Amino acid sequence: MSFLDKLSSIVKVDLSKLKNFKISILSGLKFQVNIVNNNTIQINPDKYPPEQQKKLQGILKEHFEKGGLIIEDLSLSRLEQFNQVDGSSQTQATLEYFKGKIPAQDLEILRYSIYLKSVFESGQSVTEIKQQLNERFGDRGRNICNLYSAGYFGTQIRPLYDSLFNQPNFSPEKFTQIYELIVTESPYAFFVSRATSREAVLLEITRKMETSRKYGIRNINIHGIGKGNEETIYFVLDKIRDKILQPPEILREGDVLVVKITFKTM
Amino acid sequence: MAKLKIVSFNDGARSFILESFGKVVDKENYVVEMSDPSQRVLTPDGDEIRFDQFAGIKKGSEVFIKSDIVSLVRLAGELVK
Repeated sequence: MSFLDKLSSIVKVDLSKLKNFKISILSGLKFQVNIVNNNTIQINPDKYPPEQQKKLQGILKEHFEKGGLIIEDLSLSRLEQFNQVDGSSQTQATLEYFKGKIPAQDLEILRYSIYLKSVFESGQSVTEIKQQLNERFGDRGRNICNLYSAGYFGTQIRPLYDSLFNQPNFSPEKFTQIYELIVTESPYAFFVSRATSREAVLLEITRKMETSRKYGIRNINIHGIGKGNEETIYFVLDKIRDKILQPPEILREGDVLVVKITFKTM
Repeated sequence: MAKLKIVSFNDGARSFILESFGKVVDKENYVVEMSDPSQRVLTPDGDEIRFDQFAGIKKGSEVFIKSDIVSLVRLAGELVK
């Protein structure tokens, strides 16, 4: 008996006309079985007696043994969304450019950063995904995500590589050295987080300004999203007003605030 | 010939799917072996899986997948294309 015959005998529906199809196991709904668009069989196991449920579970195992995937539907949607972003020519071009230029793990983080930015731009919450990336990749992951979201891979890192590459004494190590500084210290940027106190943000920006000066960098962009972070940014600007050229350049787009500060020469 | 690509399930069907593979949930809400409830199921990264984090399973012997985006992409990304 074929796989489809077995399934037909359980759900009591003729499935022989289906070609490529999906099975969706949906507990807690009112129907027993439902066929959507001639390609998705929705089955509610709660509506079958225990013996039939066992047979259905056997079908799932058989699918699994053939190398099939069994996946929770929200995860499936997320994965499909990821694959759509990841497979776009724009994403592939970006990843192809950085392949071999940055560490393999950073390239992986960059993939997720591109996806994260796309989710953010579509108006969905990114809090959970950000947290997952932080747990998986730590501070480096967070920095790369922040840098990509704020456009620094396009506006700073790529031009930096191209500029170094065009110099006669170019070596990949030169780029790697500066790249490491960027992804560990983010000298061009500071990202204000709701989880950090105003005083801690002030301390960190002051420290970053000192570090940046050492490398001849005289600008930092302070990024914040939302009212609370905006208040923190203005608190910091007030505290460092004697150290920066006035007025700072302020860019605003919806909830997103970017303040470009230039340090005074000492 | 009809080809089945993916089986998906909703939140409410988690237990049903796990039972298909001889798994249940312990008192602390982790996925465990039905035959040995002291044995928690592990992901390829060696992580235990909370019931609400269980996102699926694929062959290789039995690869249990957590619901975070990195696990999903690493373990199931190619199969969904």
